[in-house]
Formats: sequence, structure tokens, C-alpha cells
Amino acid sequence: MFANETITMGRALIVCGFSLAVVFLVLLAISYMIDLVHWILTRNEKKPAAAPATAPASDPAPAKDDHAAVLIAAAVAACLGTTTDRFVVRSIRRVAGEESPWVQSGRTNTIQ
Amino acid sequence: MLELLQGFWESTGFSQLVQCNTELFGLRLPGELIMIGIACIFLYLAIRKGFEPYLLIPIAFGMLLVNLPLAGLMAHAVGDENGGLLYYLYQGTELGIYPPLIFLCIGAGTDFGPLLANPRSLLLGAAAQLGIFTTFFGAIFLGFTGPEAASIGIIGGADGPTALYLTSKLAPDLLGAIAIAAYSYMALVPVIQPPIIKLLTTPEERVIKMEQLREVSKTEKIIFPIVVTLFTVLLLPSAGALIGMLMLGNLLKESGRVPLLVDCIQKSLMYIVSILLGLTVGAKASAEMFLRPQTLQIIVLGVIAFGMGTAGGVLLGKVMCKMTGGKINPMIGAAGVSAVPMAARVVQKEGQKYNPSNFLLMHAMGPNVAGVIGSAVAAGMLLLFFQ
Repeated sequence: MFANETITMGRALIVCGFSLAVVFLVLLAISYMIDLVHWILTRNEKKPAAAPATAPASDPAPAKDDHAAVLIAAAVAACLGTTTDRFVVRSIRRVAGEESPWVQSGRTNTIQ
Repeated sequence: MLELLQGFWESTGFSQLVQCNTELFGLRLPGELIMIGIACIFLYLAIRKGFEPYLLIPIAFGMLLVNLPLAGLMAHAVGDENGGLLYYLYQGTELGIYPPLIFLCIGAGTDFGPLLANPRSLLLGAAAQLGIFTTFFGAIFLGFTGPEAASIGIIGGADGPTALYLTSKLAPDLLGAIAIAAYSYMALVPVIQPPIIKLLTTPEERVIKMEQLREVSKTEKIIFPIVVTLFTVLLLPSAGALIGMLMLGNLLKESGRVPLLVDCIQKSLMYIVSILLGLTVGAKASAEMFLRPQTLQIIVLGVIAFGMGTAGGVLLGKVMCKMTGGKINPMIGAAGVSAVPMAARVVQKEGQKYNPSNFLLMHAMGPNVAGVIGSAVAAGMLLLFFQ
């Protein structure tokens, strides 16, 4: 459109505004497409989950922590050189430290 | 005997090297000698300081080779006489072949999972493209033509292959200066971004912890590159080469069916194309093309582009923080400039500085890879206007 032209400031402003708007709209549209794909893929998964929701309310473990708890228990077992049936994880609490876990991990490896 | 010696001397590159045949700010200077000096400085920065060595070493060496007088490595083919080696290798850059191949390799090494887990982070990748368009406007103000200004503005995308692709199409004469500016500033992301992040965010915003991202299924990861390619390239055909190659690389990786291809792309092809691209981009930095007042303007505009891109991402991050009731740490907006994964690492490091138990890396990777798509779309828009 404007190849080999010295364009005016007014036109440059229009190009800037229009292009930035298109970039925003394209990426916004992609973000909604991601939502749509996720909704389509998980739509059928939610239906069977609704049925057992009323069933056993006695399960004490919150489902969302199970995965993390299993991983942490496995990591503890690996560190202690034992198996997960030899100890019980009662609580998991993140400890704030001055160093990142990567630094701590690196130091541990060096010491070992 | 004296004539023989004189003839021999004149046939060597040394005699040409000291000739003052380049004019800069009204002064006659030995251009090739200065450019060899600059190339050596870049080699020092790449080798000793580790500034983007994988690209800066080939770029600097290309710069060195092209400024060796009488070697004719970038000489065009004339009649029956063949051109120089770098001239032929440069065709891959000029014809827009190498940058999309680099995008193929980037796609094969990119995990769009964090982006799929938090799709709104795409908007941060869009906001960070502000640097491209403000710098484009600034370049027009300084008197550059439309295609030149677009090529300078794209430095703000912080995406080397996109910058090279667009510049090779719109303003090949500026390729050397723009490549040097783009890759130098990408190496300086850890220096440029933190002060801007600190300036635009409050201490309370900087310590915000974000919720853990949801798990993303394999099917979502496979569908994503196909959907993005269909939608983006149909809407903006000029972005087809970059987006198409990026998404092809990603699909090959996510399909899980062609591990040998992915391994080849991620390693061998990536390094082969990097050498060719770097060498030929450096070869465009000859004295007469590089030692111009415009180069200084490009370098200044480049740092403004990076700064504005970072600011755009952080400012939209602040807006999203307010709209979500403080669930988004605005610092992740800085990762919207696509320098992958450097910008995300900077956000992680800054986040831990203000809250040692904060882990923003995966949250920042979303805007970071969104920035790659955003800058490719922005390049497509600029190609549409100026090609």
C-alpha cells in the first residue's frame, strides 16, 4: 500500500492504530478459541463427574492435593532411601527461603 | 623492483584497508578498518561476555569477512563471473528462507502449555507489541521511509528472526544495523527490563502470587497449532511464512509421532540455519551501509522500542491485575516481548527478589510465547502495508 513512500505522520498514526488493533483482536480471538477447544474437550468429562458428587462424602482427602502429595511423598522417599509405606505425610507446607529451589537443589547435588 | 613491490602492495588488502574512503559526519574515515574493529568488539562481547554467542559470533565474523578489502565475498555475479560465497549464502536471507526455518526450530522447542492454561495471557503478548508501533512512529518522525520505519519498529518485537525476515523484505540495506541492534538488546533484556518493571509497578503488585496453572491435555496442544495456523493465515496471509513454520514445528513436537524429526529440527537444523543466517546478516554490515548517521538513530530507536514494549506489557498487566481483583502479577506483562525465554526468566528473577517464595516462570512463559505470535502478526501487518 505504502511501499517506497515517505508517509505522513497522520498516515503513520493510522497504520499504528489499525495494526495494533488487529494484533489485539487476533490474539483475543485466539484466546477465545483456546477456551472453546477446552470447553469442547472437557464438556463430556464433566457429565460423569456430576453423578458421584452426591455419593461418598466421607473421603477426607481433598482431590486437588492428591497429585502433589503423591509426588512429594515420592520425593521424600527418594531422599531418605526408603519407600512410601515406611512413613506418613501428615502436612505439606511451603517454606519461604532466601534462595530459589534451583540454587538449593544445585547445592544439595554438589554436597552429595 | 620498486614498481614490482608497489604493484604487489596495491594488490593486497592491507593497502586498501588504510584508505579513507568512507564519509561520516563530513569526515573521511578508513571505513573497513573501523568495521573490522567493531566486528572484533562484537566477537569479544560474544565470546568473553557471553552476549548471544550463538548468533553474535557468526554475525560479527560475517561483518569481519565482508569488510576485508578485495576479498569480494559479497560480490554479485556479473556475466560469466561467479559471485562471492556470502552473496550466494545471503540469498537464503534475502528470499526470506532462513528466518521462517528458524521459526520452525523455535516452534519445535516451544511449549504452548502455559499459554493454553491461561489464554488471556495472549493479550499481554499483544500489549508488548506497543514498542513496535511507537518506534515505527518515531522513525517516521525522524524522516525514515515507511518500509525503513517498519523494519526499525520491529526491533521492539524482541524477536530476531521476525526482525530479519521483515527487514530483508522491506529495507535490506538496514539489515546489518537492525540485526546488531535487535540481538544486542535481546542480550541486554536482563539490564533493560528490571528498571522499567520497578518504575511501573507498586511493591504490593510485585509480591502477588498467582494461582497454579491448570493441566493442559495433549489434544489441546495438538489442536492449537492447527487452529492458529488456519485462523491467522486466513486472516493475514502475509504472516503465513512465519506463523506457518512456527506452528508446523510445534505440531511436529506435540504430535509425539516424529521424535527423530523433532530432534533434528531442535538441534542440527537450528544450528545450521543459525550459522548461515548470522553470517549473511553480518555480511550486510559493510562500511558504506553501516557507518551512517542512520545506524546511530536505529540503535537509539531500538532501545526505545524494547522499553516501550516492556512498558506496554506491564501496563496491561496492571489493568488485568485490577480487573481480576489482584490475581495477576503485572510483572508477567514484561515477558510479552518475545525474547524467549530470557524475558520470562527476568520476570521470575524479579519476582523472587521481592518475594522469595514466588514462582512466576510458568506464568510468564504464557505472555512470552504469546509475544512470538504477536510479533509475527505485527510483522504480517507491516508487510501488508509496506511490501
